[in-house]
Amino acid sequence: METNTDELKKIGIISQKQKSLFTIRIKAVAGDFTTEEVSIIANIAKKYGDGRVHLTTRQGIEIHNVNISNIEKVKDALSNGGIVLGACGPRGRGIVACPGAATCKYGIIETKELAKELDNLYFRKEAPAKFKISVSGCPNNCSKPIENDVGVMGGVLPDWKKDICIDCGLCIKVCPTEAIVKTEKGYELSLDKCILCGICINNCPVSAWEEKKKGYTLWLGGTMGKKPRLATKAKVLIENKEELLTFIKRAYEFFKKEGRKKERFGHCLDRYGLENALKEILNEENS
Amino acid sequence: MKKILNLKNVICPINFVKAKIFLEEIDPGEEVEIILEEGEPLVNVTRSLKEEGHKVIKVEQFDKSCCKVTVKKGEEDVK
Repeated sequence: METNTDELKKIGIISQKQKSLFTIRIKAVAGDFTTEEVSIIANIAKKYGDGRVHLTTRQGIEIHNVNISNIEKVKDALSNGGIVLGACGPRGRGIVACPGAATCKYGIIETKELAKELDNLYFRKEAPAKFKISVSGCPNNCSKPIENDVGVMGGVLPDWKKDICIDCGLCIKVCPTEAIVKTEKGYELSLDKCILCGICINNCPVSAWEEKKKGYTLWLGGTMGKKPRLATKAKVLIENKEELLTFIKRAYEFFKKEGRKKERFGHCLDRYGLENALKEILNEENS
Repeated sequence: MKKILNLKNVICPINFVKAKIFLEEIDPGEEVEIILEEGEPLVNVTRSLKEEGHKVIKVEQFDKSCCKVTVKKGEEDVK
C-alpha cells in the first residue's frame, strides 16, 4: 500500500490529525450524484467511516475517520461502484457549478455540461497551487465564480425596443446597478454599469427589453483563504464555448509558467502585473 | 379611484401571496395600485405578476423606500 501522503493527497485521501485516520474525498462535478452513488457512499461510510458523510464547500462528499488499514478497501469499494476519488494539493480541484439554465429561472447559460468539460480538462491537473474553477449560470454568483481561480458566469446584454415600450419605468427601478436611465431619446443602458443580469428583460411587462447578445463572462484570479482576492472580470459576453475554453487554457498555462509554488493564481496575476498578464492571456494572437 | 394594496414592510414571498389574493377579487382588465418596497420585493413581485399574466402599467416613487405600481389584471388566469 502507498504510504506517501503526498501521493495519497493527489487522489483525495487526506491524513487527519489522528495519525491512523484518513479523510476520503470523493469527486463531484457540479455537485451532482445519482441516488445509487449516494447510497454506495453511505454504505461505505457506515462500514469504514463513522456512519456519517461530510458535505464539502466544493459540493463534494467526504468520508471521515477511515482507518489506514481500510483505505484500500474503501478505494476498491468506491471504484467498484463507479465512484471517483477527489483531489487535494496543488492541482485542479472538483468543478463547482450552480444548476444553471437547465432548471433555474435566472439561468442564462447551461452550466452542468460545461462543468463536465472543464472537469475533463482540469481535474487533478498539476498547478503551482490549488486551482479552482466554478461556473454560475448568471450574475447572481450563487456558485461563487468570483471566489475561484477561474470563474465562468452567464451574462445577457439587453437591448431596448422603442416601439414596444409603454414607458412604465419598471426597468429603471428593478435594475440592481442603476444602469438604465430615461433621456429625451428614450431608455438608455450604460454599458459600464450593466452587469448583464437580465432582470430588465425578465421583468419588463411588454418585453421591450430583449436579449441582444448572450455569453460567458470570464473571471480570473479569485480566492478566499488567508489572503482573499475577488476575481478580476477579464472578458464579458464570450459567445463561443471554444473561445472560452481557449482563454481558460491560456490562463492555466500562464499560471503554470509564472506561478510560484503555493502562490494562488490571483496573487500571481497581481505580482506579474494584472494588465500585462490579462493582455497575455486574452490576446488572440498569442495562441 | 383605483383599489390600492399597501405592501410596505411585507416581505417576500408573503407580498406576492397578498398581491395574488388581492387581484383575485377584481375583474380582468381592471387596474389596481400596489405599494411595494424597492429592491427585492419590487423585482420579485413584478416578475411573478408578469408570470401570472398581469401587466405593470406604471411605476412611480411612493415614498423614500417604496414604489407605487399600477397593475392591470390579466384577461385569463395563467397557470
